[in-house]
Amino acid sequence: MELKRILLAEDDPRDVELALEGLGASHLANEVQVVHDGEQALDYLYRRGPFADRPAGNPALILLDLKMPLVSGLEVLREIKQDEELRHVPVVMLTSSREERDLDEAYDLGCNAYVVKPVNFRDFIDAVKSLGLFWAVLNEPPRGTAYK
Amino acid sequence: MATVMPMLRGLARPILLLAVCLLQALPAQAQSLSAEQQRWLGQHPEIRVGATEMPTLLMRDFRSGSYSGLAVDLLKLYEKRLGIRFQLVYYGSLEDMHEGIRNREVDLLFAAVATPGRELYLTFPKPYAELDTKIIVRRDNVSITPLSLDRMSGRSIAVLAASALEERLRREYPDLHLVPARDELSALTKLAFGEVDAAVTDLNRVTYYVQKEGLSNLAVGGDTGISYPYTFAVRSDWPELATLLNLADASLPPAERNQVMERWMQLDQARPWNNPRFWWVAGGLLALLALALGTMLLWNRVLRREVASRTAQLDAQMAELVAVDRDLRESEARFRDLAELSYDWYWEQDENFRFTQMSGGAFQKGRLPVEVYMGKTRWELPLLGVSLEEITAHRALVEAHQPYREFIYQFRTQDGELHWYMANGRPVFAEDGRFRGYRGTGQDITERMLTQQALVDSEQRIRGLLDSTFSFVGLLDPQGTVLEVNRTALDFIGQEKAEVVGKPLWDTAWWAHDEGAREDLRQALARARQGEAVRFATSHRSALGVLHWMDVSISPVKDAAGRVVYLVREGRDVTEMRRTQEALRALVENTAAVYGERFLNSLVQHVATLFDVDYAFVGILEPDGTSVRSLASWSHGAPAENFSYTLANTPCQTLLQGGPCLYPRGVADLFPADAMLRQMALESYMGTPITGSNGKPLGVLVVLDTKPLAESTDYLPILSLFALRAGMEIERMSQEHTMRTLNQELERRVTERTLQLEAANKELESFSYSVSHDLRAPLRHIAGFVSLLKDDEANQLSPDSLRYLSIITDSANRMSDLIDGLLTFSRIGRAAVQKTPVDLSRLLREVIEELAHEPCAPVVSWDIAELPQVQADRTLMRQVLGNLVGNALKYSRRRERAEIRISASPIDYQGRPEWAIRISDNGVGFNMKYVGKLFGVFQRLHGATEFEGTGIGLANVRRIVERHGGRIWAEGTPDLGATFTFTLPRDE
Repeated sequence: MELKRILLAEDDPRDVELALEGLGASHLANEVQVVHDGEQALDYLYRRGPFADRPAGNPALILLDLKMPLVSGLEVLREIKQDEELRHVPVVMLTSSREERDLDEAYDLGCNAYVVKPVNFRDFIDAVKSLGLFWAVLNEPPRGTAYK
Repeated sequence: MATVMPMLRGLARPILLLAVCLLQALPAQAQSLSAEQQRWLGQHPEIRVGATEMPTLLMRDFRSGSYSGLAVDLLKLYEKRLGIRFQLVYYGSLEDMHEGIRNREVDLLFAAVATPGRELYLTFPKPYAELDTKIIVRRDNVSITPLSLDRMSGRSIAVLAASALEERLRREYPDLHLVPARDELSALTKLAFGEVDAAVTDLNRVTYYVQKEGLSNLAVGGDTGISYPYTFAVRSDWPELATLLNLADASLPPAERNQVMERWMQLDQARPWNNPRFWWVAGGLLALLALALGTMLLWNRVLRREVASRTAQLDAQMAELVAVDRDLRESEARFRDLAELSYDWYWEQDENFRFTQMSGGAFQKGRLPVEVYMGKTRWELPLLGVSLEEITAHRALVEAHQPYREFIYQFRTQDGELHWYMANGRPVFAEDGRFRGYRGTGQDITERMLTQQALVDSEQRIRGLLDSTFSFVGLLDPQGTVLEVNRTALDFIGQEKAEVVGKPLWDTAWWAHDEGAREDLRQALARARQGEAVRFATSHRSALGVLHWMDVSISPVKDAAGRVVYLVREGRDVTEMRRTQEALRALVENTAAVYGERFLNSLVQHVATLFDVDYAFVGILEPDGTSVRSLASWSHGAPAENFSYTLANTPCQTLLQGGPCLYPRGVADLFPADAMLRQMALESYMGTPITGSNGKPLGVLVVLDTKPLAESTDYLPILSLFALRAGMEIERMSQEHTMRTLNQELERRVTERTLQLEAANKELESFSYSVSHDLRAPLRHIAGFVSLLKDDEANQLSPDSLRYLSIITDSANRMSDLIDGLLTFSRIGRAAVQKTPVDLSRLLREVIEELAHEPCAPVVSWDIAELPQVQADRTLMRQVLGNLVGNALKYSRRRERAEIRISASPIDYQGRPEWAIRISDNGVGFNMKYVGKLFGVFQRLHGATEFEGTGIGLANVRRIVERHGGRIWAEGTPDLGATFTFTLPRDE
């Protein structure tokens, strides 16, 4: 199982399709590893369970849906930011809510960007661009990221 | 040598005398008592002295119990010398006294004559007086030649029984018919009544009794030739005392001793030849006597011859007559004189006690015919004023043939007056001892009795007056010794008069409890002694142990010369007054500042202190009305634990039914079923019901004590006063309790409601959270997939299809906006308003700045006045201004020139100061008909195509303004413009 450069954690298959469609338009779709809940996301990142065999290394970007079954996006975010290895990986929170307390908590935990799920997918691209990650995602992972 | 010895012998006497004089001159303390003698004195500080009546040597005043006489004075002198005390013990007769010392009841006799018989049990110191004994006869028996004992053979002579004289007369003159008498007085009375021919006693005594008893028919008939040295007599086993008495007597200064002797001894008894004056007088008298004798001898010689011849003739004739007549006459005259001089009448009774004779005078003075008496016994007479018991006793005495004196009775005289009489009687026996009857005297003593009665009455009246006052009244001598005291004062300490009279006032029971009070008294007495009337406050403790407050005065009574002769002590019991004062003070001072249970505790403490009782409590009636629970209780000077008891058969039940009650003593016996009273050994009880303002009984206020409580009418009103106050307090406490319960209930309900609201809020919050996430997802998908469709299939779709897709996208977007608006609206309702000072002018500038960047912003003419600083939530206020200013811009954008005016003015709304902020435009305006819909959620006055909007902005604005405590309203005219005004609280 190869290492994908983008990890997308999203439980709603329609949102996943829309996201992949958007990323695909940016020729990034084959770089995306999709998981459907927070637990899978952590399994992937820590290479355990179904992802025990994946190559070592961290994704260049993590897209986390806020509301997910089992382990929520915010909890995954807390784990990532408390881990010495993972904390440098940029995390973009995806959410359909404009709730201020979610926004505040996500930034407090150290997320790099917070994107209200766009009805228009272009907003996502804008968000990635505004994070200054676009080229990194496309071309270069952050330092310490294994890339082949 | 032979001539020297008499000389020496002659010198020895003056030397010895000198030595004795020197010894006598030394003061008592210097008297060289041996160590042993001093030790003996130390062991016997008090010597009991036997005493009996023996005039001049010792006499007893029966009223005061005091003694006087030669022996008494000497004993007083000896007391000083020896430093011991002589305690006199009185005996009824000489015989009893000798019996007394034989039994060692006493140690010393005040007087005795040494006889061989007495030396068996007595030791005799040196004599202190020598008395000559005389032969006493009745005055009419006095013969010219002095009598002598050897010429009195066969005559009856009364003599003091058991006296040394009797002993000696029996020995030396066996021919005399001696009649022993119990005391000197009875010896002389026998003589006076003719029972004996003579009496033998010393001159001192006969003089004393003749004067004292009025035995005026007695006279000295001659000398006995016997004189007795009188001496103290010491019990024979105490020879030391005899020696000591001798030493004491020897140490007396002659002047002091002579003074005593002269005071008591008749001249002829006091050995006059010891006195040089005697020789002068005697010499003079002798010379006169010689002269008279010479003259008489001459005269005598002239007469003798003639007289001798006549006498010889007459003698022969008269001698016979005289001899026959004399005895009879003399005897009769004697009785008559005696009876008629000393008494009112003389009577005789036969052996059946019937009156047989009454002397003449009696009839006159008795004012009863003699016939009334004659042939009757005394108890058959119409006696009055004497009880049956007394008559019976008298009759028994008479029937036993005993003498009697002073049998007093009353008669109504012939003229109807009530008279008092006194009879003395004596049995008469014949030579052979047979009882012959009675004889005696009678006397009308009405006047004496009336005088006495008047005296007694007057004294009783005064005493009654004194005894009936509530004050303590007493009479003191100037030194403060109690002379008189009234009943009120005595009853207070439960003592009799004899227990206090003669004591210094400060040593009496009234003053015993407190040294301070005694000191106050002594100072007051000292000032009163100087003539000042002194008044001071003090306290007395009664026989019951209760402390009473007293207002005492000591006033001097002065004689004509202004000297203080008496002090009058008066004391008034002011306890009640003081208690009332204390009660009021306690009620006001000590209970005004505290309330609740502290008040009740303070109250029971004060009540207990006030009434000086062991227990006090306040109890309330339990709702069932059968038991009482104490709220505050006091026991033995400290707060006690509260308790409950059932009312049945207790004094408390009585008082709840019948009002206040006082049982000053024996309460446990009055309520035998009340076990508590008995267990606590309670004696007194006082209680009063506590009633509420509606008159219903709330409880009881009770004091209890193990000692009796004084019966006072002041107690209950005082207690009721406290009970009234306690009732007010208990009601107040009960109301307070109700209020507290109500408050607690309210608080509980508020908390409950708050929790419910919080729960509802939580639910609402999670609802809107769900809405914001989950309601939006389908919209996103609609928009997302429509967008994909357009991107992928744009070439193959008809223009209509494309337009439909656009509509779908717009609808989804609009739906999303509506959801956002709703969520904001709901959030504003829930979020806390955090007020800080907000400068509205500055906030407005920021808002305008932001809006100016909006596309299609019209050309605007701004007219902005200065806005105030207010207390508000900045974020929310920004939303308000943004919305209102945004609306103004939006609805006036079709004007060529939008005119927007913003101003603020202070107003008052319902007494509250406010800022009114006004925003008006010249936009499309609105019809006032629809003004009510302006601030509703999703209410719009314009179509979405005309002016975009969700219809939630003004609803939010109103909600924010209202949450700040302000109001908002709008005025508009279609096509002319609209004005929105909102207010905010203004700080003064």
